[in-house]
Amino acid sequence: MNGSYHFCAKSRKAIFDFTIKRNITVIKGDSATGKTTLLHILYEYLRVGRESGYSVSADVDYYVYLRREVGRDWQDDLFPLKNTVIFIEENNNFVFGKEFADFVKHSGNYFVIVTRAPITVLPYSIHEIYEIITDGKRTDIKESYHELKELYSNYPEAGNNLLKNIVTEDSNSGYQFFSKVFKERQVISANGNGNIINTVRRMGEGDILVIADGAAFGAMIEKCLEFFGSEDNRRITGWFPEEIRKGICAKCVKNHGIL
Amino acid sequence: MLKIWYNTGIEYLNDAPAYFDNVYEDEWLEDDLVKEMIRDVDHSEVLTPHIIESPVLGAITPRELSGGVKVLILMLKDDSFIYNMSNCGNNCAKWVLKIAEKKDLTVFLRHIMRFEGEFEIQIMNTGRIVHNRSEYVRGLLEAEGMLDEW
Repeated sequence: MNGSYHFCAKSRKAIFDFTIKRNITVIKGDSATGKTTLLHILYEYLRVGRESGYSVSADVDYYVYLRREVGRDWQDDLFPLKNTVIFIEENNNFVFGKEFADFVKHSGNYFVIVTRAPITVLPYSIHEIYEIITDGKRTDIKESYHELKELYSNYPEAGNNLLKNIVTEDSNSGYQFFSKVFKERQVISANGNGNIINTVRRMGEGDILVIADGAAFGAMIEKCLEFFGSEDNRRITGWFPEEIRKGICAKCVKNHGIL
Repeated sequence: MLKIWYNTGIEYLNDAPAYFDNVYEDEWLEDDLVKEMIRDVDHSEVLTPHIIESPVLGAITPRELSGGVKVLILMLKDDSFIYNMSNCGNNCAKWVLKIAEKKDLTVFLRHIMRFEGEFEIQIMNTGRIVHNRSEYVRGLLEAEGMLDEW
């Protein structure tokens, strides 16, 4: 599968209108935003169609996995699926396992997973982590209108960050590029996204800009941002563009307020 | 006090919202703290123990409450299990602390829930007691082995 798939799921009370763009999407966020309601509408319509009282329009086949049924494992339900957007409800712990990661990699399906916990075995983008928001301003419909909103932006608010130190995720072309861009500053490589937090911890005083590839940073971003935000004695800004190696010129960096 | 087992293999109730649907008691919904939590998290009003007015869903029963608020109510009312606090969003955090002021509350957590202000939380993996956001985040990362040193 490739490309984007649009869904519109409706009940008498609510409309969920969203597009799934990549093979791994995570939905999280505050409680009572409609995550379970959305999956319920999708599931019931899949089960009995318009007799559910719901309507779902989608330009792709989809499947909803809510919980394990007696006598069946997740593999029984999901392995036969092809070219399908698979929605998986919270509390299904198999999503954290290697076998599921292998299935995601090889099955060709798209996956939408409801979870607040980071899924470290999957390489998902920071841009495919969403919360459900309610648009309270629509006056043209009687239902409440809900859509997906990206939780993380790769254009950080540098604010008053003086960028004394730069930490890059990689030690190769990205590190070399930013060493040249930020030649007046100290640039250090963390040698992998798992080392970013320790590298930042070990740095002395001075504000820090952390640069990592957002394309596969989805499982790390919450930990990093929570850590950065909790440091009281210095400002730490995270910048997580995708595909750093394709060339982010200094002009782009400057235009987005990093310099 | 709130006691957190972070991302480790202790036994916890995996699907607390489903458990809630089968065990909740009418009198739970008459508790003022429960009504406050439902008002704040679900933006809904408890009219009677059987009917709650939701701005989105209309008149609902307790079974249609959000998963997060169901887990909060279980934390307050039912000590049968350790609950998965990752079933709760950040908008539940202050209520978890309020419940932990009333009794010792041991939970499982799989993500970094955001707590604000001053508090007392014990990270059970290491035994460390933390008092603010900075210590709490470092405490969880330490428990996960992501910090070389405190």
